Amino acid sequence: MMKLTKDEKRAIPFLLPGLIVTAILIVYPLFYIVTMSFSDNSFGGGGFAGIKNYVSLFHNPQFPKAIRSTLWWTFGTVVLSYAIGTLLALLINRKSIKLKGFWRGMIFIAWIIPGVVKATTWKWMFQTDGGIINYMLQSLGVISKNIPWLTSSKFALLSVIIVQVWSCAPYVMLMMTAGLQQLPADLYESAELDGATWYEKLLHITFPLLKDISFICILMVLVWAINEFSLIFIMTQGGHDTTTLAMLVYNQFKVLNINLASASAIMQLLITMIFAGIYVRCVVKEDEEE
Amino acid sequence: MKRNTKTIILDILTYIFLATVVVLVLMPLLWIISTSLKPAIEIFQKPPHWIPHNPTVSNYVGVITASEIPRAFLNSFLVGALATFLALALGGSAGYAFARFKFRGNKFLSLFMLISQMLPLTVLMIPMYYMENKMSLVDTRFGLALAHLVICMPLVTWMSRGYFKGIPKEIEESAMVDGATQMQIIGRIILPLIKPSIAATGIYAFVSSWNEFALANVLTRSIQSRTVPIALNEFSTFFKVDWGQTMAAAAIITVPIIVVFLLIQKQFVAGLSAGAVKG
Repeated sequence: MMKLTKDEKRAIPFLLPGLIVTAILIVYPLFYIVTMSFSDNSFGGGGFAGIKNYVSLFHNPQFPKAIRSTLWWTFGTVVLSYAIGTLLALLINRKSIKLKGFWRGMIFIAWIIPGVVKATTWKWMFQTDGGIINYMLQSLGVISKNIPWLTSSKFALLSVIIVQVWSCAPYVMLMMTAGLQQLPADLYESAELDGATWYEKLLHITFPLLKDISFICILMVLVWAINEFSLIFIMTQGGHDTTTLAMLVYNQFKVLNINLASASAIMQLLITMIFAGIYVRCVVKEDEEE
Repeated sequence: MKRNTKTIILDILTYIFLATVVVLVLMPLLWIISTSLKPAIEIFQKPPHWIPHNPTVSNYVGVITASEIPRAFLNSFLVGALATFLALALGGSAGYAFARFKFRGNKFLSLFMLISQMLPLTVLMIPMYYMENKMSLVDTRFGLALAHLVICMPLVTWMSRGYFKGIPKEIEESAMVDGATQMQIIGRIILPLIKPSIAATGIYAFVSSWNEFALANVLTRSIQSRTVPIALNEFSTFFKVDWGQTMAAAAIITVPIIVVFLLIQKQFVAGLSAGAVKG
């Protein structure tokens, strides 16, 4: 019999209800989907099929396509969100800029718009005929013919990336602002006395000191990108090379190809958890430093 | 002097850039309002225009009187309220245990809560559907609220753990010496101290449920349990989309979220850096 310490005895009544619910709602479903990915019966608990589902997933031409789309989608959203978000944070943080709170607040609105509203509205704006984006680009003289934003493989992925960046860059801006405000001012003062230019300060003071928070931001946006479902589902239904891994899981589930869907889901889970694991390590490091 | 001119030019360029970004941020919102106030014939009129020539509220009237949206509002509210309540009760007390007590597995379990916030919903969707199907919970508000606990529980647990950790242990110990029981300490001392944080966490959980799409999309089938995001998406999946009504519905859904955000802006932003990771 395991001996419980005094603290453990006191913790149990607080902990147990939550842990039981977590076990039923999170741990059991994960166990269930792992089982299904190794089974050949759609309703689970059936015959053990070994790695058959994974083999057929890897031979399925849709799988490498989904991986490729996921890569571009993730790469595009992460790089652009980080670059634009950081630029905004740096610009608003400049000493001579007035109304800092106003600028941040206005830009942050993009992040709090509900995902479905965001996706539906941009879908309407990206319409080939009657969409406001084509109209504005035409009247600015940027394009001469309407662009089929959501209905061609050339533009569909770009369109959804634009919308994701539109909502994630403000998040990066906010996190980087929090980081910038903690930087020691005297470091900059002494650098200025030494005659450092603005990019020297940026390169040798700002970025090195913002390394940790940048890393956390990037991981966050990255995990969101891999997990994103509603935006792509609503805007393109995964058509025109926008079927990311998350969309593939859903599509296979929808046609009741449960075992294949489970195998795809496990692949998505593994990829997400690699980055989530790195994120957790960062957070633990910070937690222990406190 | 030269330095000054340079700063002024840089400032002007910065302001122009920031103003452009703000316009880009607000553009979809203005387009929602513009479209929602246009009569049907104006919506596809060429060239498209921002200010409606004959503004009308008929789209809003249509959404409120003759669509699923009011019922979906009720569904969303009940689902969100139940999920938030359960998450605060279960996750809040778990968060307290993680912050206060030394026990084996503390670190592992609390990190599990953190990482759970990043689980892909498309992965959980499949087993969740089969489990709820077996228990006839599909297409019920209770079933969806349970599913949303997957999001709300880890979020509340992790955030409240942080808040409880912020209260010095000595406060509790001295109350203990004075003969207060554990429940008295929590009810009379701890909870009043972190009331604002708890409220913010609750609102955070509620908004997560309110916005959730992937799970609701497979776990609801009819107006019995359909939430606002699903009802809105229904609008724009018809063969011939009525963009006027769709945008009116979008406006109605977005307003409460923006109001909530304005009310708790400070705590909301603090929550972000406190490790609330669900987007």
